[in-house]
Amino acid sequence: MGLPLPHGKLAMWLFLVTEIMFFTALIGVYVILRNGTPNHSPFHWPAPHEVHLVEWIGALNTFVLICSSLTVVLAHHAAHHGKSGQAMLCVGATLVLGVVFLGVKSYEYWSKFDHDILPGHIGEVLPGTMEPPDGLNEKQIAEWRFNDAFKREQQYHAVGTQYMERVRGQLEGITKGVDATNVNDKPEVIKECYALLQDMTGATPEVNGKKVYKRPIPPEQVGKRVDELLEKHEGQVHLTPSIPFGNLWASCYFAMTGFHALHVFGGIVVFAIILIVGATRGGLQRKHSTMLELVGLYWHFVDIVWIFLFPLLYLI
Amino acid sequence: MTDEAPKPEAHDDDHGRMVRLYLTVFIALAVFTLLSFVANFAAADERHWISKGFSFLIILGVAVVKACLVGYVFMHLMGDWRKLYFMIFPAFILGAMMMFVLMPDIVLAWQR
Repeated sequence: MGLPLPHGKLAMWLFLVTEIMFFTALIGVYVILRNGTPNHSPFHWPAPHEVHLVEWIGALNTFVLICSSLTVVLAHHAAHHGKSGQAMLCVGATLVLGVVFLGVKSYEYWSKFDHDILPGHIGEVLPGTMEPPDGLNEKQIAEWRFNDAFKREQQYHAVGTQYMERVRGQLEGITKGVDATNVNDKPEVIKECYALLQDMTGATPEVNGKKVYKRPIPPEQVGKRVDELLEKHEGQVHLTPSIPFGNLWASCYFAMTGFHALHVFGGIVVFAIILIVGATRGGLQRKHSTMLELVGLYWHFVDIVWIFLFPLLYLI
Repeated sequence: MTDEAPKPEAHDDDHGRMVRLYLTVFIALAVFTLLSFVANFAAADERHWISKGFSFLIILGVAVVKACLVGYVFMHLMGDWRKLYFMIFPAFILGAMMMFVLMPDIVLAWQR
């Protein structure tokens, strides 16, 4: 009587169902947010090359996890048929492949950190304007300035201001020691950074013997100039890019891949424990095959999650 | 899973058959991964050998097929599906429903 299923398998599947709901929530929200972003020029969901996402690295990671799924199922199969040494070898291979996956993922994360593609850092001035809509009289314009629309525009402007402060700090670091007397002796990239910093601070250059006030450029233009600098001098300068919806993209990317990487790490810890158990108990016997099957179920689920994450983030 | 000892000849046949099945699925998964990568490559803006819509269908279809292969063969759902579907199916329904519930306010609203 009772369920025609071992208790351990039932419990593991119950846990995996909760994990399905967890990752479905993350992936579902990503799909919703991505389809909810406007897609009219110049605003669009960031393309992979704009956020330094390399497709073949994602494909390599997919292949690594597929290999690890094969090795873990072969480990269970070997243990079930009493082949202890083969089982230990397969579990070891699974662990190594998991470590390789995390190593590749670490390299990708380092690339994001290096380009400052982090949630809350990326410059973006989203669709909106500080100007009132057309066709309003003076009284209506005054009312508009005190309603919610104006507060939203102030928020957009505040986002742009935060980005400008970040870029200003980076430019001051790059152009330390550079001033009007020695800027012409510096490399092209330093000259352009210095010019951008001057334009951001609203310098008062002399024109025909008179000091002329030059208004600081707005955040949208700062972002545009930074992107041009980064494109022209790839790898020579460290500035935060300006990518529309870049912060949303970064939040989704790090949430999904971060939680997935944590799950991979958990699996690696379990495989290490299994190897220790096997080493101290004379190898992985037939009695350990159920334990291997259950851990394998968890590992295959982690693989399935990546099977969906890879195309959603890297390809589509 | 029972603890009855299988007969030696059946045991070897079963062992070989299962290993061949696992290896076949592994090769299929690798090929499908390559296929989705090639579909994305072919639909890139600088090439446009196939449309982005067609590429999207290939990539998503391949992902679903790969997930089904891993679940059906590696996770032994080919033997256990009838014992487990009552737990797994509702989770996917909940996931799909969550997207449909959020869609009007977040996806469709800006299109009006």
